[in-house]
Amino acid sequence: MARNTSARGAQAGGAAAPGRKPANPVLNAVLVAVIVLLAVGAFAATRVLAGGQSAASGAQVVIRDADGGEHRMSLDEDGELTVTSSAGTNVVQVEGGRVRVREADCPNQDCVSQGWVDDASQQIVCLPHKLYVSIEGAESATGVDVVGR
Amino acid sequence: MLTCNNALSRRSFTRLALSSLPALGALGLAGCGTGGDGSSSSAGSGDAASAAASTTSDAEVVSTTLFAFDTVVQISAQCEQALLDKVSERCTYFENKFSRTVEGSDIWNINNAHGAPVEVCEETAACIKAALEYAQASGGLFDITIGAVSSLWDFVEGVKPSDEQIAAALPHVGYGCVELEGTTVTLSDPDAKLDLGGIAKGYICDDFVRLLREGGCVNASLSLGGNVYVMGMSFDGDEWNVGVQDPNGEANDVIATIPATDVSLVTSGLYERGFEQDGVFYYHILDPKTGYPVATDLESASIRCESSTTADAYSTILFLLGHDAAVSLVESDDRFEAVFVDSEGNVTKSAGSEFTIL
Repeated sequence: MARNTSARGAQAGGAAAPGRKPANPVLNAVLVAVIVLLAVGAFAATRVLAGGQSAASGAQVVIRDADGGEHRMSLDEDGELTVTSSAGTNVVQVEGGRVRVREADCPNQDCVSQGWVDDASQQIVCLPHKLYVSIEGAESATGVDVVGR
Repeated sequence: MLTCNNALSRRSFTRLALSSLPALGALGLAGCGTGGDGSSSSAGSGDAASAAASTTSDAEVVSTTLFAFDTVVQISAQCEQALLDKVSERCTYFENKFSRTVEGSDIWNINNAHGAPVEVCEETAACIKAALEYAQASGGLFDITIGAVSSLWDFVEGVKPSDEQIAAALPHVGYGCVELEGTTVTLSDPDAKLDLGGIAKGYICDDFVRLLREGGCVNASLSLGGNVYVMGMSFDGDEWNVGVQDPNGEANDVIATIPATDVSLVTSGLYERGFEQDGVFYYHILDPKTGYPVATDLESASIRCESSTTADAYSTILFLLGHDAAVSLVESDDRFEAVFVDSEGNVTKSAGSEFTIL
């Protein structure tokens, strides 16, 4: 490797060491810019990929009703959906990555008392309305595959 | 510009950087390969019967959810959609044979025959035969002739019969009046009534498992209103991890787990069905000796057994036995492992069982 003498190195724009081409500040700047862009791009990519593999992201609430209808909500966005079928009405609520049946006009209110669920192994059922609420697209965080009840 | 004593020229630097790219690329791909596949899960998205890829043997996983037998049936299996459709049809078949309320079902026919002999299908005969064996083994604690009394109660609408009505019906509870010859059923007591509620889900579950196995399915998970059977391995390739519901928690809280393969887990719990009237809570598990909800010190009993039919019947028997006698029975019978929650919230498991209490 050629060595610059301090006198030569001190010159702005730099004179080239013996046997080398003249230093080109523009190309140097371009090279630095490319490196910086690659670094920023890689960092941004890791953010996106990490987001895609988090437990809740992409997970969906799937609601099936008595008439064979299917309704979907994102588990990542707070919101409410009123599902009315020939069997009755249930209001499904998503908040903070969890879902529940907030209210319903069924006689026993079992679906409401089942409370919040947030895991792929769990579900909420309203028997009189033949309504079934489950979570898809997310791995079960509890590790339980199926629950005997 | 800073002074650099060992500076690379731009050309050398670029050359070095570019030549290291292939190596970095290879590392990156290897990393993505192992990391990205970790999240394969079972049931797919889309309609009730759908498929998802990326399982251990790369076979399709199909799922169905339907309402039958007064509850929700959930099946996920690694098999062809056509086989799962067969199982769904079989659900309807059983509704029309076993239901006490569907007019023209085998059980309805028997209960309305006033003692005349009734021809039934093979499955009804087999189920009744098994039920009679369990009645005998349990000294009548499990009794499908509970129908005379259970038909007076309605645990969904909250209907309690009067003491007089129960007293009048009780003499007609007794499995000794059931005569079974081949596929002919005769109730020697014309006022007796059958109720298969305590064994039907287990029997039907075993039937579905047989159907799936005959169709070549090895891995599946079935839940008939919480009456669970797991076949083979989970779709992630390890043993199924089955949870037991916490009777005192929210509907999805789990109190114990057990690793399982080719086995059934059936839970009886007070919490499942019941109603309150005048300050008294009436649970849906009736004592055939009294006609009233069982007086027991158990909140729930979960039994693990290779036969779902046996597990279903015995989950009721254990409940009626109460904690200590139930533990003794399970520990003395090789077929069973169990976990119990008593009325004070204590959780116990039978000696040597594989349950993990959380």
